[in-house]
Formats: sequence, C-alpha cells, structure tokens
Amino acid sequence: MFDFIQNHILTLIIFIPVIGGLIILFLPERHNLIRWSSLIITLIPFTLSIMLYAGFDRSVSGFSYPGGLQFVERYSWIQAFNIELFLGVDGLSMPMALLCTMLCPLCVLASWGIDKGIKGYFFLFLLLETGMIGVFCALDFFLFFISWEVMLLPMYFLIGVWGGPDREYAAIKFYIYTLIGSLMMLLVIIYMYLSATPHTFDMTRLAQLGAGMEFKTLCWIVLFIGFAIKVPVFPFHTWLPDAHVEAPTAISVILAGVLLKMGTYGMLRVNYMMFPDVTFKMSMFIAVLGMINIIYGAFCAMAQKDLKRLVAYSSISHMGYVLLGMASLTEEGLNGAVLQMFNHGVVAAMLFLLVGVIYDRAHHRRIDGFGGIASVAPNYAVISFLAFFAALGLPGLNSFISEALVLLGAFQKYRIITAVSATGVIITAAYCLWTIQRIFLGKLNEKYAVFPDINAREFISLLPLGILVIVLGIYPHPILALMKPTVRFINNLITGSGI
Amino acid sequence: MGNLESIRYFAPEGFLSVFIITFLIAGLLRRKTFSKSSFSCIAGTAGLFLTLILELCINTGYPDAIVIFSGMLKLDALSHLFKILCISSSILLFLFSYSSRETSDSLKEPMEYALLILSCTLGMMLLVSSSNLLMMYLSLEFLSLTAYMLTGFTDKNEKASEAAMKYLLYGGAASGIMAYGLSLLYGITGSLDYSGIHRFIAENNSGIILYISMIFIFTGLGFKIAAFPFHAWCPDVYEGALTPFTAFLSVGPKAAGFAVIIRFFYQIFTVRGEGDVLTVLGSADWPAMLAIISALTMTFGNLAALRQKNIKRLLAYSSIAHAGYMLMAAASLTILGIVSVFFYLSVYFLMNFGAFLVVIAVSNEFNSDEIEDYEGLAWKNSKGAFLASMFAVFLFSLIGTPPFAGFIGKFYLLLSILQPENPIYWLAVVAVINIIISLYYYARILKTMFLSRRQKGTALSGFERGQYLQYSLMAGLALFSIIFGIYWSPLNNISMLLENFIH
Repeated sequence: MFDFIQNHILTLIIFIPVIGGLIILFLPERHNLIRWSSLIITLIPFTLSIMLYAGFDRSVSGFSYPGGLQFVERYSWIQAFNIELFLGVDGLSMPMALLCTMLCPLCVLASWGIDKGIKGYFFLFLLLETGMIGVFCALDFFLFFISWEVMLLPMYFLIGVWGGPDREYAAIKFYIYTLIGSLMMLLVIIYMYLSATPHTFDMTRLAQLGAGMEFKTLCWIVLFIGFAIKVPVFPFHTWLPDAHVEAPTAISVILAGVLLKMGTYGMLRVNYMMFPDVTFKMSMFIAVLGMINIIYGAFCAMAQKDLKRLVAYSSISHMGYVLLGMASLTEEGLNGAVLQMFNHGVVAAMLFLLVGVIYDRAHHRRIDGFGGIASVAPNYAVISFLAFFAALGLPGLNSFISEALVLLGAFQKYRIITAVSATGVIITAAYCLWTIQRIFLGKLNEKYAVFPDINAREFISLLPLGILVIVLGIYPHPILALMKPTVRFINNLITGSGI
Repeated sequence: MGNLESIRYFAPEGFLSVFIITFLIAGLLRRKTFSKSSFSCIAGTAGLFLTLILELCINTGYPDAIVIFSGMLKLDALSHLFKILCISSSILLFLFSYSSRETSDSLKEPMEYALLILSCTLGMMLLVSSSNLLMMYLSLEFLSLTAYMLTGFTDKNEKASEAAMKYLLYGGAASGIMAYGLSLLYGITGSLDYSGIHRFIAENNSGIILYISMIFIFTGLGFKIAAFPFHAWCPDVYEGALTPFTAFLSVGPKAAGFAVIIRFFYQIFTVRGEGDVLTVLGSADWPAMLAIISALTMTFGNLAALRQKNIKRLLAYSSIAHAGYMLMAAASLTILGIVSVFFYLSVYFLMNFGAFLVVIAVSNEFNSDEIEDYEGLAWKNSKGAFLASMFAVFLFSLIGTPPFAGFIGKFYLLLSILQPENPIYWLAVVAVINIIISLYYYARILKTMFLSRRQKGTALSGFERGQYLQYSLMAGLALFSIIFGIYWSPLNNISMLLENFIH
C-alpha cells in the first residue's frame, strides 16, 4: 500500500480531487456532508504533498529524466501522437504544488457559507484543483495545455454563478482573456510538436529542439504573451481586478494564490528552460515590464476605494517583483522570484480571506465605510495587521526576504530599473498603512459598534498562513532549499547560452 | 466490375431500397398502423439498423478500393466511414422525432415522413460512394429533393413552408450552376468517370477553364455544406424546419457533402508523391480556393451568430462556422487533413446532435426557441439542472475546451493545417481568432442558463416517464463527448483508415 502511494504519488495528488468531486455529485444534498467531504478530499492531496516534500531530494537539479526530475511517472496515453501522462517535479514546481495543495483546504473552509448549488460549487472547485496541480506537475506539453485549459470551465462558473453583482461581465472577460492566451500557446505547442523529429510533446526533449533563432524568438514572444495574460503583465492585466473583485472569497484566494503563479511558472518552465538563448536576449524587456507592474500596480492600488480591488491591484504590483527577479538572471534574483511566488501566494491568500471576513459582516468593502474596527474586533485586527505588514515587506516577515533578494539580484544588472522599482516598496507601504489606518484605526464608525470578531472557522483558515508568514520571514530555508539547485541550473542554462 | 458482380457489394443500399419499397406498400395497405408516428419511427429505425449492420459486415475491400457498376460507385474507407456516419445520423433523426412532442403532434403523415427520411439516407449513401460525375449529381439531387420536402413537412407554422421554398429555390439555382460546371469539366476531359478525368488532367494542360468549372461545381457542393457565400438558406431552413430534422440537416447531409468534396478534390486533382506528400494536379489551385472560402465561412458564421436571439438560428450560424473549420482541414492538402475532417465530423455529430436534443427538450416544455426563455434554466428544478448541464457539456465541446471532444477535433484541424509539408499559417491564425469570437455567443447561452438569477415565470415539469429515451440519448451523447475528449485513440484508429484513401 505504502509502496503504491510512493510510486504513484503525483497521479494520486492530481486525480484524487476530481474523483472526489465526481463522488460529491452523487452524494445526497446535505450541506454539511458535502462541505466536510470536500474538506477531507482536499486534505488528502495536502497530506500527500507533505510526503512529497519530505521525500524530495534537495541536491539534484536539471531538466531531464533520468536526471533532475523527481517522482517521475510516465504512462502512454495517446500513442498515435506520442502523448504521455508524464509527471514529475523539480525545485520549481515543488513549492508551487505545495502551495496549491495547502491553499485548497483553506479555501474549502472559506467556502463554508456557500449554500446555492453547493454540489456544483465543490465539484467545480475540485476540478479546478486537479487542473492547477496538473499544470505544475505536467512534463508533457499536451498534458500541460489540457490542465491549463481545464481550469477555464470551473473558473467561468465559479466566478459567474457564485460571484458578486458584476459577475457575468467578470466571468466572460476572464474567459476570453485566458482563451486568447491559451490558443496562442496551442499554436506554438503544435508547431513545436511538428518541428521535433520524431514528433513529441515531451517537454524535456522539446527543450533540446534545435531551430532557427527567428523561429525561436517568435515562439518565445507568443508563449510569453500567453503566460503574461495569466500573470498578468501590464497591458494584459485588465481582467484581473474584475475577476478578483467579483469572485467569491475562496476563488479570489485561488486566483491570487495559485493562478497568477501559473503565468510566471509557465515562463520559467517553458520560456526559460526551453528557449534559454532567447530569454538571455529578452531579459531587459522582462525587467522593464516588471518595473511597470510594480509601480503601476502600486499606484492603482493606492487609488482604490474598494478593499478587494486594492488587494487585487497589489497582486499586480507584487507579481512585478517576480518578473524583475526573473529578468535579473542572477541566482539571488531568481531565487527571490520563485520565493516571491510562494510568499505572495501566502500573503495574497491571507489578504483575500480577510477581505472575505469583513465583507461577510458588513456586506460592503468600501475602505472609507469603516473606522476603528480594531477596537471592536481586536483579533481580526491583529491578523490583518500581520497580513498587511507582510504585504508591505516588513523585515521579519516573509515578503521582505523575497523582495530583498529580487532587488539585490536585479541591482547587479539593471541599476536604474531596480532603483525605480524600489520606490514601489514605499508606495506599497503607503497604501497598506493608509488602509490600516482607515479601516482599523481612528474613530469607531457607529454603524459597526457591534462587529462580531473573527470566528473559529475563519481563524483556522488564517492560522496556517499566519504562521508561514512569520516562520518564513525568519527562516526561509525550508522553501529556499527546495528551489536552490533548480534555480542554479536555470541560471547556468541561460547565462551559459548567452556566451 | 460488371453489374451482376457488383450487386453483392451493393447489399446495404440494395437492402435499403427494397425496404423503402416494402415500407411504402405496407404503409398503403395498412394506413392505420402506419399513421401512428411511433410505429413509423420504430419501423424506420429498425430498417436503418439492419442497413447499418449490413454496411458494417460488408467487405469494403480495404485498403484497396472496389469499383462497382462500371465505375459508378467506389467502395473504400471514405465511403464506408461516411456511410456509417450518415446512417447513424438518420437513426438519431428517427429517435429524436420519436421522442419529440413537436413532431408527434404536428405530423399528419408519419408514414411519408419516415419514407422520406429513408430515401434521404439512401441518397446520402449513394452520394458518398459515387465516383462518377453523373452519379454524383443524381444522388446529390436525390438527397436535396427529399431534404426540401422534409423541411416543409409540417403545417404547424408558415415558417416551414417559407423555408422549404427558399431551400428549393437556392438549391435549384446552386445545382443548375453545378450542372453547368460539370458539363464544362466533361467538355474539357471527355470523361465522366473520376479516374478518367484524373488521367486526362495528368496528361494534358487544361488552363483557366478548369478553374472556372471547379468554381461552378463547388457552388453545388458548398451549398450542401452551407459554406459562405452559399449559406443564405441555412438559418431560415434551420429555424423553420422541425427541430429533429434541423439537427439531422446540420450533420448528416453536411457529412455527405464533405465526403463528396474530399472525393472530388482529392481523387481527381491530387497526386500522392514520395513520402506521402500530396501535390495539386492540374492548373487549378483548389487548396487556395478552399482555404479562402474556409476563412470566409468561419468568420461570417461566427460574426452572424453573435447577434442571434433564436437558439435554432444561432446553432445554424454556428454550424456554418463549423463547416468553415472543417473546410480548413480539407484545404490543407495533407492526408491528416482528410483524417481530421472525418474525426471532426464524428465529434461534431456527438456535440451538435446533443445540443439540438436539448433544444428539442426545452422547446417541448416552453413551446419556444428564444434564448431568453432559457433564463435561469439551471436553477428551476432537477430536470432544468440536468438539461442545462447537458447543454453546457455540448456547448463547451462546441467551443473547443478540454476535456471535451470538441477540443480534440480542433486540435486535429490545427495540426493538419500546420503540417510541415504544406502549412497555411494565416488560416490557423484566422481559425484561432474565430474560436475566440465563437466563445462569446456560446457563453451567452451558458450565461442565460446558469449565471442570471432572474427566473422567467414559466415553470418546468419534472422528469417524465415517457421521455427516458430522450434523457438517455442526451446523457449518452454527453458521455461520449467527454470520453473522446480524454481518450480518443479508438476514434483516431477508425479515422486513420482514411490514410490510404489516395493511392
């Protein structure tokens, strides 16, 4: 039994959610039963991914099998096209898989209040989880694409049916944007498949594809745009505020915590690992985009009146650090970028959960509509302070380390861009503190004289994140050690190809 | 092969012809029994099932083709597979008519209805295997005439008569032009037989006149598959005709039309060279023509569908768009292109029939085909949720989202158009843009059913005992749409029979 789990651990992590979701469809329509079973179903992959974490060999690196990839499983799927169920993790996907499986049970907790179409909700949610983990673990390009696309359907309904007042618009906008990106990706994937001899979707083999530089550059740009829509990178970001604001709390958490990382993960996995020479030429371009994201996102966040929209724009700003770190092509920068992906997943999830808590009580999210909440809901206030301080990069909390690493790495290459980006830290601090002041401090708004403090369920969903924020702020080694060899490998690959 | 020898290869069609005559005589003798629409439908289904079994058992001579009746008909993988597809769609038409309240109420002469469907099937079977210009033209006309009659086969609404009239007029004009094209082709080559024409073109240079005749002939074929600019009949006919027949019209005759297009262009005007590379034979660059028509067809279909309020019209325009996607593969001039057309048609068979079945079920409830009546369907009761989820599966498949079969179909089409020997990049980009446009109107139906919280007043009845056939058909089609989206090797292996279609 144990051996079976050990040998098929990735398959289990990926497919348990969707199988559980199908079972849920056939359970009797009792709300608590469905909630608890979803919670249990999402806890299984989490437990398995802890096993994955424990068994992960932190010393190997490389993008090949046998080689750097671990827990590899390989089964033939469609023989006619050489499509395989080819799964594996390395230092890049391991933290992401961990983040994703960790957030899902917390999101189930945050979805406790859903009562309309509850079966459908949890089925779609679990389907979404399968897609997300699939993207991080797929090493077959076709499987990668299928997982990437499979998320569209649940996401459309989760935003569109269970979302806020403007949900119809947000859902279709999200769908169209993402579909544009993924169809562009599909064309490149097909092209790469056809250029390889023999035809293959195996990503490790496609990485060695020899082709003309012009062709590669074109592929690189198209793929980059496809991923950039998901991140989202500046001109393609407009779907994000709508989708985040209208989505129900748990889905905002997934969007900010996992889906955005998929964009940068895709860039690192595909653009960086498969086209290192083009990446070397394009790094400046990525750095500029990262800088725009940081500054633009931060200024937009500052201008928002709606708390959830503010958090959404802050995500754009924080993803800018990931881009900047990636563009630096130094070990510090890349480590910082991947760590920032993990850290932002934790912090953004926390912020969205906190917004959900306040919205459940006040039924609005206008920042100006509150005041002095700290005096009536002290526990809630403390956790919110922690989250906002983490977001603004207070030393001792997790984001500080990743942002510092990013700036440290980037400064070695782009002095001016990094200097400009660093001002983003100040703007971020400004809007975070200003928000804290307007909501939690000052005179108590009489309307909220009776404001129930955070309850046990909400507290439990926030607690693990809060602990991570503090622990990783002091001792980031558990996550950094996972990614270090892989990051070094990527860095050598790219700087080596540029010479 | 001589006529007498040919008869045993003609068993399915022969059986169907005998069955039609028997059906007619029996129907006249026992008018009362046959005037029950359930009886006629079941009898017709039984006949088609036997035909299907015969077709499955018969020796197609694969991988070698068998030419029967002195070159009139050709039995090969193409005719075999498309015949199966056409017979299956006729069977579904019977089952749909049987389970639809619309047809059982408004059919005054079910015997004649069944008879026409059977004749229509015979027409399609002959059409997909014909390898002679005359035979092709006659079976095309046979198919069209029965289709005109079936379109107007209800006195319930005036739209049906109008649609039938329009269909007839357009069809008459199209086939007239086509006949002119055929006569030109005959004039150039002096042969009606496909292989004879092929031989003549390989040896002689025929100049611009070949191109002209090809365009004229394509008018008739394009009319059958509703390609732009020969599509104008399509929305009116789809809206006016009985919904089961509309569903059939969007799949069966369209499949037959594609079979003719493939046979005509790939058997006469194509040479298979070294390493399975296909090249155009003759002076006419037909792949370019098909590529342009394909781009226009899909773009027009999708743009026109954006503003439709009636679900049947919307699906009509969407079927125009899908014809455009399939033409793309037909224009690819690769073997995979032929395979892809069949693969896509099989997938399209599942999802389009499924979508129309939901439309039938809903219009039986509300007596309406307006999209606004679908509002909040998913939240009305368990039947509403069932219908809406089924519709969602078919619509997502039509959009081309994994894990549904429609995505795999589009994957094949894009793969065939990007084949290294003859890639048409611009068409792939046009197709991708079109898929994005199509998302918008399909999602609008989804939005109406699932997202809007307002509910129209009309109540929905629960599951009915008499309708279980309908529900299980729907679930079956949906199930296969999902299965082929996840594991499509069986369908791939069947489609790959077409690999050796060109020698």
